[in-house]
Amino acid sequence: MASVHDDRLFDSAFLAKLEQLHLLARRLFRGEQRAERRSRQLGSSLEFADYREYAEGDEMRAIDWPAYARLERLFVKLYEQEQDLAVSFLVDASASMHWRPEGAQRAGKFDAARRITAALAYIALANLDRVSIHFFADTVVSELGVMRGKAQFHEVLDFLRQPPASTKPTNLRTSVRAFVQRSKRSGIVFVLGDFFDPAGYEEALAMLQHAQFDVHVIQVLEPAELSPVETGDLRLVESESGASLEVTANEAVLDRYRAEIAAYNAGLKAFCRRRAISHASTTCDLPFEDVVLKNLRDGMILR
Amino acid sequence: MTFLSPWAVWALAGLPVIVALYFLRLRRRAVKVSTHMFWERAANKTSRHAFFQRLRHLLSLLLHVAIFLLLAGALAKPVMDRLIHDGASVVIILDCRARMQAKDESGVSRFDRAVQTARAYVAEAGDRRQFAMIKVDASPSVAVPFTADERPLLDSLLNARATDAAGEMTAALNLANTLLEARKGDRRIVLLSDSAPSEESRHSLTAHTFSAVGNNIAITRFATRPLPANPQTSEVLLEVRNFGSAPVKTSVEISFDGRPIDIKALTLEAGGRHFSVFPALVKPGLASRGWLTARIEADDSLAVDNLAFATLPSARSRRVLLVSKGSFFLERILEADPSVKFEMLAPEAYSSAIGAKFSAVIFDQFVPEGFDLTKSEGNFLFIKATPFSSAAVVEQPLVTDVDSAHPATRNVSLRNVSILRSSTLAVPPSTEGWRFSSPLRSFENALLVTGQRNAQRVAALAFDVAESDLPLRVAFPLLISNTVHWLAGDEPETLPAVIAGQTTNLPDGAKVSVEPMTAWPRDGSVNPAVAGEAFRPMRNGFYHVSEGGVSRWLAVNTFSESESESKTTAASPEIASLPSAALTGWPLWQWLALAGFVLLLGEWWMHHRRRTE
Repeated sequence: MASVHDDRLFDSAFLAKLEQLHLLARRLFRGEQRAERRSRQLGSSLEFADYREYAEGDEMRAIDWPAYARLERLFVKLYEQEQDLAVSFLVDASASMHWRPEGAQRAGKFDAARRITAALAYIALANLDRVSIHFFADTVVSELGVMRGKAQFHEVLDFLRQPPASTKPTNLRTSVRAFVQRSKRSGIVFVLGDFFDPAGYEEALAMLQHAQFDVHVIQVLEPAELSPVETGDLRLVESESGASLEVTANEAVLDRYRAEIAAYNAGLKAFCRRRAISHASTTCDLPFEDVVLKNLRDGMILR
Repeated sequence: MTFLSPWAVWALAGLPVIVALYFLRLRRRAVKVSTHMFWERAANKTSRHAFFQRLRHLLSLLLHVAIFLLLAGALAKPVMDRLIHDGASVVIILDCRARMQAKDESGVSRFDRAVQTARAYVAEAGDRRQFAMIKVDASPSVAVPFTADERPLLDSLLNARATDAAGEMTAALNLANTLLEARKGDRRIVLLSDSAPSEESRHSLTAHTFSAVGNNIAITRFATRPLPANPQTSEVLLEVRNFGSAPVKTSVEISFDGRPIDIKALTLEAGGRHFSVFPALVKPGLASRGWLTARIEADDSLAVDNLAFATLPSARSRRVLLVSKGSFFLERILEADPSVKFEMLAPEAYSSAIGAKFSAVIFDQFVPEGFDLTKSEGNFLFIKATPFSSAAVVEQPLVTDVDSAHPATRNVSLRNVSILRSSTLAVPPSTEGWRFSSPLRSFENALLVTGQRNAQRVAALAFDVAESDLPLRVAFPLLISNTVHWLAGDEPETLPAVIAGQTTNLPDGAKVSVEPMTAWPRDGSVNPAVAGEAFRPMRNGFYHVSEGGVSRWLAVNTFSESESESKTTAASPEIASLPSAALTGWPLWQWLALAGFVLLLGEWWMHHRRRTE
């Protein structure tokens, strides 16, 4: 499988930068363990949230006795409960993600997606969130179970270093359905990929939202995909299906191609905006730091 | 317009290859992409794009085809007719006479070397230089008329063979000059023979002569004839000549029907001649073919004259019936003829059934009662009393006319024969298939009447031989023998000598074998025969002739001292440069090639620079 060597993919310089990043969750999710995220679920933490009148069945120790002394009415003090957050990564591992232009030595789309996944997973683990990673192509082909705590980050890296050898075409809808069916809890889900699914991405993203997931879309593209330069009588071999398409590429055809892919990406972005889905787009030729610190913050994924 | 290299039309067969190569060139460069989603939409955005794509491919293919056709046309070297001056004309005279079979020191015949030289000349045939070919054997003939195509010339050379015939070169030169008279431009004769002609040619003559080994021994005559006194015995004539410059000792082997019967040792001086006549030691039997061959054992230049052929008359026994009350002279004559089985019968015992069993029936002063020639079967000789006799009697008739060509009176001399009296014979009209003649006459009176209808024959002698002094003459046994054998259907026993290349007329319906036989066949086979009136053999040997159920053999020989006299001449095999038609102006092929080059540039510009969109 064509990819940058895994040692270079997650080198020490890369890991040093992860400590500086923090994940920003836009919603509060319920959690079963304490975490650094506040939930509107009232709980037993020390951080005061509100008052309400006493009701039968409330714990006696929760009654605010000083308030009773002043107002002669029973009020119960409410505290915010700190919850852990389920953070899932759906990473496209289809054949199109492994495609790179002929002769390119730098990281490809799949390598970039894995780096971003590693960065976000590190942040989540540092915040004591529950992290799971799922590679998908035509369905979920490989997954890493729930990880928690920074101590388990090396397992995340090991998982990312050993991607599945899948060359199946992308089927986002089937993959999301499989993911939803095996997820016990909702939470944040990051969907990373090129989103080149002939069947469309709309239904899959809507399905995630319907399952109460906070969806973040990170589209990773290859610059050569956005603006190809090959001209002449070409036989285009699709990486996913192996099908051939004979095209005589000239500047006019290339212009039409660029317009088509730009319209497609714009459509994805507009869809996300309409559905309140965070959207970030990057190309794999950009330095990783720029991607994480700029593109993801611009996409309201990091603070 | 004239194409100087019309063979280039075969280049058009490569047109499918050009089309195939074009489509092979259209093999596209394979490029891997992540998805077809956007390419499909971009490529099929408008039908205008697809239309121009197809147009570009079609135009490119048409340009390829046009370039190929232009180059093929250039290879054919088209020339405007007005650019060609009068073309050169060359007549090749190929000597096919027997002398061309002579071999040189390396064992190669003159004829083979002549054909090689002719091939070299023929290769220069074209619109600028046309060739005709004359083959010379017994007589010259145009083998190939003037043509610019070397194919028929090569085919003619491939089929050419040196014959066993003798002939003259003068007639060939005259024919070549006649052919060239009507031609324009440069004219030339190329002669391929053993020696240069002595006579002048009206046109340029290039003579190629081919040498041979100097010595040659030849059988110049070999023939047989029956002895007049004893036709069953033949004598043989043999002549052998030494054409070499040194005396030789050799031997001649005489064979009969494939079996050696005699060997004669000969010593011949330089230019010497051996001539001998000797009796044939064999008498052909009924199953014999009569083949007589003479073979010289000599390793000389020309082998064809070392073998000669002749035929001996084959023997046939005839049953003859004499119906007579007694005739001393006739009985003695018939008894003395070894080729006749003679029987005698009294007139009152004769019946037509008995007569039908004999080859010939002689009625001596007797005509069967109710004899009707038109209804009777058999061959008859009537003496004195005949069906054609009238009551009139001619006293002491003189023999005035004898047809020496008639088989019955051949070699018969009846001068001063005294005849006491004869009856008068009325020569019947030639009707109902009968043809009558009177080969022996006394003024207007017929003394002998003969008639023939198919194989049936009849003769009538007007006088009693006993009432003449004919039995005392040598002519008597000849007349009776000739008449009896003619009645029995025997052919003349002296067979004509046939020389190779000469035309011999054959009787109607005769069939003659196509190829001769030179060696005795173990299986007794006979070469296939075809019918024809004229027989012109070109090979020596025995030819089988069948005619009306009767078969015989013809011996064919060269017997030409001019052919056997193998002259040693200086060989001149070098090919002479031939004249050619001159061209003026520019041939068209350069313009065609230039047009093809321009189209090639245009196609490259269109295909690689994408100027169609």
